[in-house]
Amino acid sequence: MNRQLALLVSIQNLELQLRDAQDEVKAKALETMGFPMSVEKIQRDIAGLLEQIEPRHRSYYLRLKTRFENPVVPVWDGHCTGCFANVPTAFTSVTNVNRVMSCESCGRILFQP
Amino acid sequence: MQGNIAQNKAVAMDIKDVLQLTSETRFIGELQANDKEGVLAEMADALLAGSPITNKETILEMLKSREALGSTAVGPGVAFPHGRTLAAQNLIIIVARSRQGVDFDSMDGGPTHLFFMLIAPPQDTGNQYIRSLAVLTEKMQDPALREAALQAADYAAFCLVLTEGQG
Repeated sequence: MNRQLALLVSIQNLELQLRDAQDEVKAKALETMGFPMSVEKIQRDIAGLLEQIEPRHRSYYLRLKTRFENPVVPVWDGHCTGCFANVPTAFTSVTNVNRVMSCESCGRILFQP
Repeated sequence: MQGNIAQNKAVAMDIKDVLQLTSETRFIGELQANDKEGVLAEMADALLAGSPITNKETILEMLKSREALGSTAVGPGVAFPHGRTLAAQNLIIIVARSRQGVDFDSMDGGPTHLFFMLIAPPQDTGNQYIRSLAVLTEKMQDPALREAALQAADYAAFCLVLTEGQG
């Protein structure tokens, strides 16, 4: 996977951890089990990864984030899982597998899970 | 307290429900890896086998970033690497053992022998992910059960230990 895309996926995965950490009930449950979640640490990690993203991808991602809770989504069965539009077969071709591609319908950044 | 987390919701979960989320192909009877990174990679391989997920790096990056928040080796000799990822469609559990033990940055500094990896989707109905984690962490509090789980001859015996408390 393209390094920039991998970073974007990692950021989005951290956003999922952040959501759990900010949910009082889930965070309390996790802490009780011995898995405390530091909101500040996750936010710092996200910021650190964002700094490694090329400016054009970063600004595009941040713009998407204002519109969608999930600006980066996997492609399952040839569909964008954000808007369920068909994704061109070119997405999975060898030529495009290493590029940062977005859904032609909703604009979300796509990756092959 | 942990039992309450697993049981006090509308749909209670028990160990039998949790074991439905794993399978014989997702059970590694004896890990080859002898360090933390190797364990995560070997378990990720077991996750990918027979799964629509093909990108191992995505899973490993997520697990490593979760471990960076604090080691998931919280029980004596037991670790629960876990987290949510965009790449998962359903909650999946991979189980692994290392009789020799692995340095997994455990809280007590001792080697880790039992591993329960929980890979959760972005959203899960009924909070299945956290409740499964609660069931497993509570179950693994029992030293005799941990030892029996480690010694169980195969996957079927392992499941029997967890459900019935015997090998």
